[in-house]
Amino acid sequence: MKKFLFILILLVSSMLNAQTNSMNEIIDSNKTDTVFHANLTGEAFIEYRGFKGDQYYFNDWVKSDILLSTGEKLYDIKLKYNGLLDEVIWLNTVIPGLFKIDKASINDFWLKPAFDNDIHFKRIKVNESPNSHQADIFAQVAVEGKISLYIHRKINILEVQTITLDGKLYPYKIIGPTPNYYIKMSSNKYFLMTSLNRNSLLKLFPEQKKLIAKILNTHHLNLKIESDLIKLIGLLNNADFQEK
Amino acid sequence: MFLRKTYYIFLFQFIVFALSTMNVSAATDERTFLQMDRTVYVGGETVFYKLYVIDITTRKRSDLSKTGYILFRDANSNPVLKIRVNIQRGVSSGCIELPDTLSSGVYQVVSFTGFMRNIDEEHFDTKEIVIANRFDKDLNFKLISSDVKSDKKSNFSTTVPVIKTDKTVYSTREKVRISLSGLNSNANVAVSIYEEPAIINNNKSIVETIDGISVEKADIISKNFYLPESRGKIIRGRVMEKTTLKIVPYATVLLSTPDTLANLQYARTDSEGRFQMLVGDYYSGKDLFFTIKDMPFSQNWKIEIEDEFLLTGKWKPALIPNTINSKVYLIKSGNIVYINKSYQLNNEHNKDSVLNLKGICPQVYNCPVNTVYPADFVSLKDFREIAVELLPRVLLSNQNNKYSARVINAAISSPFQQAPAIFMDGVFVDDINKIISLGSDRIKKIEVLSSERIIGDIVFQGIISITTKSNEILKSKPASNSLRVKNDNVNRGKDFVIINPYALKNKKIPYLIQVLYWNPDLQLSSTGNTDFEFYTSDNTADFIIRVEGITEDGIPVSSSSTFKVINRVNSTNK
Repeated sequence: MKKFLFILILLVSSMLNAQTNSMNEIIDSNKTDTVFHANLTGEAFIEYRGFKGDQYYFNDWVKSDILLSTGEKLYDIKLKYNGLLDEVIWLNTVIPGLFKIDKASINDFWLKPAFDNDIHFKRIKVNESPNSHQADIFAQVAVEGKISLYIHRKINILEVQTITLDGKLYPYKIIGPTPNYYIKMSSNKYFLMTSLNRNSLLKLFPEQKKLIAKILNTHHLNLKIESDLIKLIGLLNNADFQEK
Repeated sequence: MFLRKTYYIFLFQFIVFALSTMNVSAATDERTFLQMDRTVYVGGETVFYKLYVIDITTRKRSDLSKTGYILFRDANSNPVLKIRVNIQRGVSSGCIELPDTLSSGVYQVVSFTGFMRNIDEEHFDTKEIVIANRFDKDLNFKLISSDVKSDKKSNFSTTVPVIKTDKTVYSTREKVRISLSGLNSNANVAVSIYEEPAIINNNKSIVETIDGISVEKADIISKNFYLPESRGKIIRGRVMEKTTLKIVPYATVLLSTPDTLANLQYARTDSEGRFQMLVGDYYSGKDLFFTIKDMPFSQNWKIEIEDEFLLTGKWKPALIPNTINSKVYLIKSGNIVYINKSYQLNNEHNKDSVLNLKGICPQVYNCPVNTVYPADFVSLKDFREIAVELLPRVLLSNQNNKYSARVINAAISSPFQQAPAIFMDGVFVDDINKIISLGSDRIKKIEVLSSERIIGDIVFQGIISITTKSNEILKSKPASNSLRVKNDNVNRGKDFVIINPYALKNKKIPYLIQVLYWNPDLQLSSTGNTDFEFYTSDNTADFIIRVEGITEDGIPVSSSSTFKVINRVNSTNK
């Protein structure tokens, strides 16, 4: 027993040493990247709190990665996605303070909640309505392939109520999610779906009605459910779906 | 009993720790080897080179450093030529134009990477060459006394590339076919074929150099500070008190460069007052403006930039008088250069000597801004008038003829407490007074950001960025806490092009060259022969074929052979 314990101590100590040193090697070779990382640019952000409802995708600060438009990547910074403003808010722990990162400087970002999968957002240029000019928005990447699905996690003012406080009337805005769905075809053309239902999708692709209907029936998909739309786009990528 | 066991445990742990520490230091080290097309040059000629960066543990090409340095220094150790090169997968090749003005003499060519500065300079690769000034008629300079090379056998069980020529004696302007073979594994080599000089040279081959590499703990002098330049050049400097030269720790140093975009990066000095910044391709060939941020009025600090080519060790070659033979050879070389310059014949072509690199601009802002073009309005004589008339969010005040500025915070419509960051032609200038005299006639564009802006961990209470019509920043005098330095360009050079003498437009012109062939990137296969061909010129002499390189397994290979070029017409006539 004593011999066994002695050998075990030797093995554990050598393993610990080996681990420490392999870590050192990794730090050495990547040190340039950790010392000379890109700087985020943005402006001070003052949060407006006069809303009822959540204006962020996650209310808590989430460790996130950012891919900048310069191609540089930053890791493990604390971010929130504000769906009301469609902006990325950064908690700078050094200064400290909240800052709205310059939109044009971000290409992609990944919110990495501890309890769930990473959520990937991408800056895309789309028409938010048929008559509007093209604008940059941050949209969640749901499917990427020949046909891609991006979900703009938009938060909107749903209703304005008034409350009385100390004898004065105050407007009170109720906000809530109003997601928009952008289907990107291989020709880089975006189709906008503002509501989840079978008809709005079939209207976008009238020539492919039969194929879409067949897939929906075969796989028992209900297009009022967001996850089923994501599944459908995934299946369309495998099927012979062509934009006409 | 228990004590003995504990002793063994500690002893074992100590041995494991010592061994693993050695591995770590070895894993982060590299060495260079510089191969040049020959060893004797005339001023005005081109040096073709190949620089290897070798990982000393694997002995293979290192993928760590992406920037290398080549320094030419004379026999008094004065630097005469500084070349920075880009390294890709452990190799860089190109050419260097030797200035006409270099005086005749022996020169040392030192190559190294920034990462190698953590070890003693004596481990930097050195080559000794002779450069003759073609206007120097006497050539009374001294040569390095030639030692006899040691016959020490290589530690490597090397396979030597076998060099086969289709003949041993060639006529002038004749095609030469060469075949390389005999290696056990694939290799990348550089081949140089040049006239055998009359000056003996003791430069080590790649086999001797890699053979001599050793890693001793004592060699490592500054392991932590010099990071591998894996993403480009790293500029290093110090902040210190101007008079006492006392170091200034934890100061913020800002760097920007003239551009149409306001740009900025920063670094903080460490406890020893040192800082380092990555100056990638974006800064290549540009003026670098360094400024100490928020220097207290009572202080007098300065920035000192480290010369990345600085060598502390002196080169003291043992010199002997020039010989008649070498003088004859150098006169011939000078004449050949003169003839080729007269007939505009040279072997370099195709690529520009300076790479047109586009790097990442560290923009200060990337958002919509208020932009004013003064030319769209009535002409205003200075920035004070422009601010009053055209910039409602900028407030200027004057005290004792010194102006100060504040930007009105758009969020709360009241002025910020601190002065905004001022940029002129993309460069951070810490004082509004530097732009106050600029009027509509000199300012092209003004951008104002009236919010609290952040760049990394630095906050500015508003930004005013002006772009002048004629790059006024280059004419401005840097402040006492600022420094302006010119960043060098990355050397790339031109390709060596083989000239077919029969394809020359005028076949009657003399065609004389001393380097018949140079290829820095020849792949040798372990299975078959690698063949190449070129032409002899009108230069009748003995020529050396030198092959040096490294195999895929990290084994250095080196080989040489000779052939002769004679003038058969003359010999028949005789």
